[in-house]
Amino acid sequence: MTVPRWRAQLADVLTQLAARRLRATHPDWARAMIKERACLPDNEDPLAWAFGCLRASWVATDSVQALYPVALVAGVAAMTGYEWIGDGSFAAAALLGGVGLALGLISPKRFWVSVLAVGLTVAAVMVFEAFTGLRPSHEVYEHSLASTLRWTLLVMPALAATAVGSFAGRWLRA
Amino acid sequence: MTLRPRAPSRQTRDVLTVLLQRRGEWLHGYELTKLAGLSSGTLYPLLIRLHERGQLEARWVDSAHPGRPERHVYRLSPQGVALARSLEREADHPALRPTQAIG
Repeated sequence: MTVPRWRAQLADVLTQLAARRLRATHPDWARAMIKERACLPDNEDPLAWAFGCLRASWVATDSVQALYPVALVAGVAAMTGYEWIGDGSFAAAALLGGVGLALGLISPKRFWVSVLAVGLTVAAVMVFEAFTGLRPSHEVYEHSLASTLRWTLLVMPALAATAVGSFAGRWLRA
Repeated sequence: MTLRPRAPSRQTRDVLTVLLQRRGEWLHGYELTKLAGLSSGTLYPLLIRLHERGQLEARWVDSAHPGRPERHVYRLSPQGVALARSLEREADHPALRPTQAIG
C-alpha cells in the first residue's frame, strides 16, 4: 500500500506540531517522535501515528489542565446565563451534565471544585433572586430562600457527571 | 477527589510485559506499538513516565538501514524489571498487589 503524498505531508506537519509542544519539557522525546515518524514502514498510515503523537504531546505535558480556569468560568457563566434567560429543564440538565463532564475530563484533580461549582450554580442564582427580588420575566413565581435550598441537590447529578469525566480523564492520561 | 496511588493501567502492564519478555533487547517506539498493541498516543506518555521514574532506559542508536535517521530505543532498567516481575507475580497471584504507584 502506498500512502498518498498529502497524507504523508500532513502527518509530517502534525508530528512537528506535537514535537514543538513537547520540546520544552521533553526534548529527547520530541526528537524521538520525529525520527520514528521518518522510519515508519511504507504500509503504515503516518496520519494515525501523527495524531497519536499529537495526543501524546498534550497528555505528556498535561496542557489540557491549563484550560481548566477558562472552562470553569465559561461553564458556570453558561449555566448562570441559561438559568436566567432559558426555560427548559431538559436543556438545563444537559448543560449541567455537559459542563460537569468537561471539567472532570480536563482536570480530574480538581474534582470537588468542579462538583461544587457546577452543582451550586443554579442554587446560587436562585439565592440571588430571592435576596434581590430580581428575576427573569419568564419566571412568574417568586422563590423563597427556603425553597431555593432544594436546588443544592443538583450537586448529586453534578457529582455523577464530573465523576464520569474524571474517570475518563484519568483513563486518557493512564 | 484525591488521586491516590493506583494500580498500573492495562496499557502500562502490556508495555512492561513486552519489555520484560524482550529484556536485554533495545526496542524502538514503532516496534513497541505493534508488540503491545498500543497507539503512539498511548505509548509515548507511558514511556516518558516510566523513564522519569527510572524504570526505563533510553538511548539513541544509528539506524541499521543507510540513509535512515537514528532511533530512540528503550529497555527496562533493573528497577523496571523488578516492577514488571512483581506485576507478573501479581497476575499469577492476584492477592499480591504491588505497592509501587505507576501510571
